[in-house]
Amino acid sequence: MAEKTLAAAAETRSKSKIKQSPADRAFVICNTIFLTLVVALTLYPILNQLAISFNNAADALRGGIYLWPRMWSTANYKAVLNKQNLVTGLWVSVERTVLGTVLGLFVTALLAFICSRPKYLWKKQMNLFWVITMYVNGGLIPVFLLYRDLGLTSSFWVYIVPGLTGAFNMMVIRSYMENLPASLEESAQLDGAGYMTIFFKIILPLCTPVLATVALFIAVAHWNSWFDAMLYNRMNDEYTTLQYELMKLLSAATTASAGGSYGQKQTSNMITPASIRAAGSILTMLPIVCLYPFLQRYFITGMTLGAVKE
Amino acid sequence: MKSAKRALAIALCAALMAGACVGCKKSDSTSSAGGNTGAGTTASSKKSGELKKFKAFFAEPLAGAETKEDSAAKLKLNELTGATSTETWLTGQAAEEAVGTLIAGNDYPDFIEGSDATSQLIQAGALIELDDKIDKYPNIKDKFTKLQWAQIKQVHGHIYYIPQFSSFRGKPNETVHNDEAFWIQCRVLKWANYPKITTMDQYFDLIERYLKANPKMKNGTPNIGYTILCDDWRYFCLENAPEFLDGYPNDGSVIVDPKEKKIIDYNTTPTAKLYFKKLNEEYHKGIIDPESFTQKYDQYISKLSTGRVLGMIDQWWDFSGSVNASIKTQKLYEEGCDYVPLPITIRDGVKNQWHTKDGSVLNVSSGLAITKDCKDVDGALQFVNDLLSDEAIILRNWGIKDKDYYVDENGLFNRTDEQIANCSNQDYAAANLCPYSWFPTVGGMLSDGKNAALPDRQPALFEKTLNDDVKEVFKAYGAKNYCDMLGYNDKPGDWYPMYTYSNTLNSSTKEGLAWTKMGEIKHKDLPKVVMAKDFETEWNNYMKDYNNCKPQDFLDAMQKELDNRIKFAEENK
Repeated sequence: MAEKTLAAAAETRSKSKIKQSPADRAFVICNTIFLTLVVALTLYPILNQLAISFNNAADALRGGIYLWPRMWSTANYKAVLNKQNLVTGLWVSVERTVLGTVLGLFVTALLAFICSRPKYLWKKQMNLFWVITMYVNGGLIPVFLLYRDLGLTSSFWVYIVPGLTGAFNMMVIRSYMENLPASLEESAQLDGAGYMTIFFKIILPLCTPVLATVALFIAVAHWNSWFDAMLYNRMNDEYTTLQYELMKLLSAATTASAGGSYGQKQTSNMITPASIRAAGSILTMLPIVCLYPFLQRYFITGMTLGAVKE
Repeated sequence: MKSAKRALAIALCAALMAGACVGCKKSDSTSSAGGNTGAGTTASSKKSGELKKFKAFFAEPLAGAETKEDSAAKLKLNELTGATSTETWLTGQAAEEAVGTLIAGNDYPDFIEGSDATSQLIQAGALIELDDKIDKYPNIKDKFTKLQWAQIKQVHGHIYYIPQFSSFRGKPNETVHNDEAFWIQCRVLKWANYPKITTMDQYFDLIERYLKANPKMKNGTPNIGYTILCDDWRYFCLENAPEFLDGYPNDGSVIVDPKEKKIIDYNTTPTAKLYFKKLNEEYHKGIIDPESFTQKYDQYISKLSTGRVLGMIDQWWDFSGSVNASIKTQKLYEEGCDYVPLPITIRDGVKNQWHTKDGSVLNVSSGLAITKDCKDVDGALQFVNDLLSDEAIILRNWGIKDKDYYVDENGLFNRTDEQIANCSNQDYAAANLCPYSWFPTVGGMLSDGKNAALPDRQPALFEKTLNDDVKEVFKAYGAKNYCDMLGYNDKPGDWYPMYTYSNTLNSSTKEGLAWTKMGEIKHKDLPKVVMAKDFETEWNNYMKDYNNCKPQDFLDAMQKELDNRIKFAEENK
């Protein structure tokens, strides 16, 4: 019974097919092959790291591991997960990612809104000022001194405050806002809305796609950041971040692989930089990978379609 | 040549010791520094009350493994010393960068190891002068001889830091040759029935014969006769052999003629030419790995890890850690893939000096310092002093009795197989041990005169950690350990080693510029020399390029430094 229906369905399908010219077919085939290659190219490094991370570290030194571990081992993950301060680092990383993204997004969007209003008196100068910050910065030590004098060093806020807004993200949002029909704002003003109402009630909801994109940028940057933790909170373990702890582990592994004290190390349970890097990458990738599908649905343009007839 | 400095640091770190008294003769190896005058037997009496908490930062590219704050050995050490310290290492930065931000912030931890940036710390006034404090702490004072303290003081005019390594009690007892050598796999020696190999020609001849008879490993991987590591600062594997082949010790950048007290350039000696000619011949015979001049360090390590390379020149600390573990994991020792050193010189009758006794090298350029932000300088020094006591040394190196080691009926420390495996397992080590690896330490023997301060120097335990193939080789050559394969040499004089000076050179001076250029020319020309079809022409080109670097500027500066060192040692003996 079921087979019959299936067969029938297949027949109807083949009948209802639009006739393809050979060129069309060739395109479809080439396109499929090309896109499959792109997928393979993107996936392979990740799968390779996954294989290495589950392989015995000393054995991995021989090379030749591609998609599947040769000597199964979870020692690399154990080494990472047993790291001192890892939990503290994880919490701080989560805190800074959540707080930093929410605050950063709000401040950047507000700034972009101001810079994108055609009536704004200093629009040009303001935009130029932000562009300058993209190309010129104070340098490591001056910035360090500034943060110190602002009382930001040795505190959690050094992760949040300086990075509240960035010129690049601001411009991305600004361009998007500039493309919104001006009549939206005008009609709202006719109805008596102030700038804040327009910003919150009209502009922000329309900007969801770009906000989602920028949120991802900011979140990934926060999540992956270790340099600031090292620079400003070197001796404060309570403010360490996950990536800084992993970085430390990597350094230690690099050293451990040079110079053994024993005549021949009695262990096959050693860690090597390559394996630690693999395990660390996989672990830190997870949250972002989990987050991405939920943000993806916002990356849809055309939200403004039909809002206004021009 | 910061790289060479790092190499030195690795060597020191891995060796974790050295440092006999200067000019110490064999007969009186228990003079001042080595005296068992009860030094280090007294830990400060257990302090009741508050645990002193210190913070330490090590601007060392060689991060140590982290110890958990609640590791068993650490808790014991806290109890013993009444103090504890956190340890933070350099991560992904150069020492200068890290120290730069500390100086800018004017905010320092209690302890700091400045490494390459020690001078900056001193200029910034961050470090406390220890000159008149040292005498109050017997274990610290006894760590070095009068001359050594004078040498440390001479660098910056005051004693700002305590070099961590380079000192031992009792007699030197090294088991591993932690330095450079011609290495060869056990299987090659076994196949030839353990011949006496002492010259470069014999060495390459043996490799040739073995390779002819055994082109492949048991699993079908083709064997490689000889590979050369040339990656960046690890260039020594190619270029500094002539100094050893002529029977001189590792002065690093030059040869010092111990009789005439004259500097000799090892790049231009007849031996240098012979050595490179030999490499050239072997290259054309297909014995030398054609990837030698392009491989990166990690590729080289992977190559050695497969067990297919029969021989090479390298420093033990540079390859042994990863490669031995890999050979162990794959059980390649059954095939005889472990490496042993050979006493190779250029011709019969030249005495080799590949191995200088423990303690020949004192690194005076940096050490553990106490900063001006330390609230309790005396407490900090007392902590360092207590860490040098016997009980603390045992806890730091051996761990906890009956848990990490046991004492046999003769009072000798040993470890069961399980304890050996535990202590070399990073996870276990982090949770249970606490080496305080970059705090000052002493090597050699404990004051009982029976036990080694470091587990790997304990003969019975060292024996346990060896694979069978190495044991067989040692037996065949009548050696007990790696050092016996080469023999022991006293350091040639108080100037040794000269590389501690050439490592500080940079291109801002005439001699530094020459030194930098010489290095660049060697990088550029030596691979060509080895691969040349016409060796003579290429060698002459190389010599021409080399002489254009004005090596004499460099050699004159080295001569001046040598004279100064000899004079200084005379005055401060």
